Amino acid sequence: MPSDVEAWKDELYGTDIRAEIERFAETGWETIPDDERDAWFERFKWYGLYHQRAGQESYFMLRIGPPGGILEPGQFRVLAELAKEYSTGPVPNPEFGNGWLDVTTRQAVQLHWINLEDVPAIFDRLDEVGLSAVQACGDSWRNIVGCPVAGKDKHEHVDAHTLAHDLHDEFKENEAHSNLPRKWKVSVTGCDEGCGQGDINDLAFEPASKEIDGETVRGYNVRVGGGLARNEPRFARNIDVFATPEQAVEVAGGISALFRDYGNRENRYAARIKFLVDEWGPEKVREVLQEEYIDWELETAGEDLRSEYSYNAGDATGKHDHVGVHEQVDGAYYVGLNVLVGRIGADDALELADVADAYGSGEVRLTQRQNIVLTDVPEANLEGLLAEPQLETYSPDPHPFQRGSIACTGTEFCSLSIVETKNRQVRFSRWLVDNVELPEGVENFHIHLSGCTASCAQPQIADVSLRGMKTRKDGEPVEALDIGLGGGLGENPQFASWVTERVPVDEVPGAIKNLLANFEAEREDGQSFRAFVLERDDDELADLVEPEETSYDDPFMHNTKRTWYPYADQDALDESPAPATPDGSPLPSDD
Amino acid sequence: MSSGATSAGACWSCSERVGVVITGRWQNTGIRAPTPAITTLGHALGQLLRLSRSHNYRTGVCLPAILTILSVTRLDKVCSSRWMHTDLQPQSGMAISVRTLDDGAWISINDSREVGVSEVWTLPAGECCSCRLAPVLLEGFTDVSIDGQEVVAGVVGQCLECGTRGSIDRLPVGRVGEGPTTERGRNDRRFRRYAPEAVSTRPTATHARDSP
Repeated sequence: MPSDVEAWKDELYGTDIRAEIERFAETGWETIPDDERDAWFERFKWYGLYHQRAGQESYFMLRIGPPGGILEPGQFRVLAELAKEYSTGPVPNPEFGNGWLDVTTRQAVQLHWINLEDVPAIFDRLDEVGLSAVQACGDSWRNIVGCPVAGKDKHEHVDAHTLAHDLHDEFKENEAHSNLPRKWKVSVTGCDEGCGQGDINDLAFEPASKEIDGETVRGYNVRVGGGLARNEPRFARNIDVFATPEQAVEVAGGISALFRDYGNRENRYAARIKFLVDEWGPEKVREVLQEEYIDWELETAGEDLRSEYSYNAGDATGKHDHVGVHEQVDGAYYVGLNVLVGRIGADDALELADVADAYGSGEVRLTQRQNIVLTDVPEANLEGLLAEPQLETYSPDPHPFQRGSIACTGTEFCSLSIVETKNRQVRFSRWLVDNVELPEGVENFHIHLSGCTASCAQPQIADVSLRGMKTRKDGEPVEALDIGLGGGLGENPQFASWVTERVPVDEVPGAIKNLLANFEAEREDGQSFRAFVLERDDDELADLVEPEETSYDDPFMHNTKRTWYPYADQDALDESPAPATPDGSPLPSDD
Repeated sequence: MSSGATSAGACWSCSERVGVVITGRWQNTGIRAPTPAITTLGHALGQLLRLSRSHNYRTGVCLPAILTILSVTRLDKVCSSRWMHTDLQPQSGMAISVRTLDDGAWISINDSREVGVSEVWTLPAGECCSCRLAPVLLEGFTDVSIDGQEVVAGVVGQCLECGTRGSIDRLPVGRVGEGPTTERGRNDRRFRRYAPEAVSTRPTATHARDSP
């Protein structure tokens, strides 16, 4: 029997939702009938609106997804202005103040504390500059990710910029593909460094070459069925298909339609295409795609570039991220800036927009490591740019512990998360910078903190993977983290192995310190951390992780999920000011 | 014209029963919408009706459906033979909807988020693992249903003592009881959730099994 969500989608979904959002915005959040809220909040996701967790009723997260993370000149400034005007909550966050934007691991921007009544004005403002929240959440084509420096990069094999935009144009607001069984995540990689992270997407286009009619043609190999969520991580499987850039949109449409028609609509937990690929195998996926959805003979896979991939790839030679100053193909430069846990204060963002305008083209690009890239900086402008005060915080040359830190939203706003994440990861990184020496030669060290098994911070592909848990300490329940080791992408991608579970959060920095000390003591000369981990089994690795209390202090040990907001002085759920009108006046609630 | 409490009559086309349009809250969609012209006999406002065939509002797709009667409009001469002999069965009990939401983050009871993941529930030995009183962190709800007065959920969780990760098919998370009838004739059954730590006052879970 189809789920409630399927019934609601069958009733009304896709572009029809916008008029309903505007209707409720006009009459007020409180006019959504009590017994229709589940249905409407599920539908609103299609327009990027996600109702925040319990204790924060009437407030929404709004996600805006530019294809490939590319914000054209002027767009980043508008997002900063929207954050400043609309994205403020009842109390400030102690690390980030009030009003900020979050750069996500899927090259999108998230704004929180959005009132439904403000959404039409926000949508109009986005429309004016060519941005959109369409399909940023919900069961359809999500934001298309890819090389954030596509079109600029010296490592580009094929033009991922064009394909990402073609896919965006074709499949956003496309009725035939607007209602899929589940979310649909697509990646386009065009470079030889693998920065599109195709392996963890439902559909991945990866750079390849193929001999066709005696000529070498550049295009894409196709992989299907990757994803990290729900303790069921999968790398995308090679379905033995090569697509030219001209064929790629049609191939993508065929696979999306195959998912639409054959995906599981009865059970949302088994709905992602990774489970269909498990069931069918990549051979049958190819066979059905060919027989039912593509009317020309598909080429077999071409020669790929995976052996050269360096992005988030352990000890590989090449760029592991886009931080720093790098020359573009046209002789100008792009400058990647580190954004710790992806969060930028609204005022900082406005100043960064000024910097982008003053020294580059004004374009700002978002990366899958929650960072930003300013492009088109002439060589003569580099010195001035690097001297800007904002670059002390958003650094092109950060400490490896801060460069490698990623965190999801966490219990601050998310219903699924088990622990607080962003503020904690900021505190972790500060303590590590002050107290831990990285072993010689270790320049990239990735620590990803995800609040739960949904894996929004991509914990399984980090050197040190942290996943939200709980445990008891001194008889009291406290927030905890599972610790995994050895994950990463590259030619031979590897998921982290969860070697030590349920570590109280205040003992995690000590565990990382001890782990690195043990690594330094036991590794062979020059051995990378990832190679070191791969040589050892889980028991050996567990012995190297020695959780320990240190000078690190964690103010969020308690059950942050039972608060309306973890950082409020009066944080109990029954102290919540929500639901509220846009001016902060409380609304009646029967909760 | 809406009736005050009940409607009854005969269909115009077969001269046996009156045609009516019922406006109700459709349980499968959550939307308040009218049925096509149908026939019915003596059902009270606030009751649930099962339509063996129904018209899916806006899309034109026929589906079995249940709706809560909010109002009944008696028709003078309009009657669709397609619906003339649709069998309308009143459903026993009162309006209540249960579902999991947001990727299993919540159990929603009557569109209110009532039970969330991330809580530690104390379970007796055998329900998740062999620990005598196992503190089990609920990581996700896989389904939810009503069994009599009991709301039972399928959950995935992990024991914080021994680390066993398992699934429990039927964890009782609360009870529903009589509630007040609303202005719209809806009788909202009230949900009372069990305290996660109150193992002794809760019915036991069933079908525990370890994950592979």
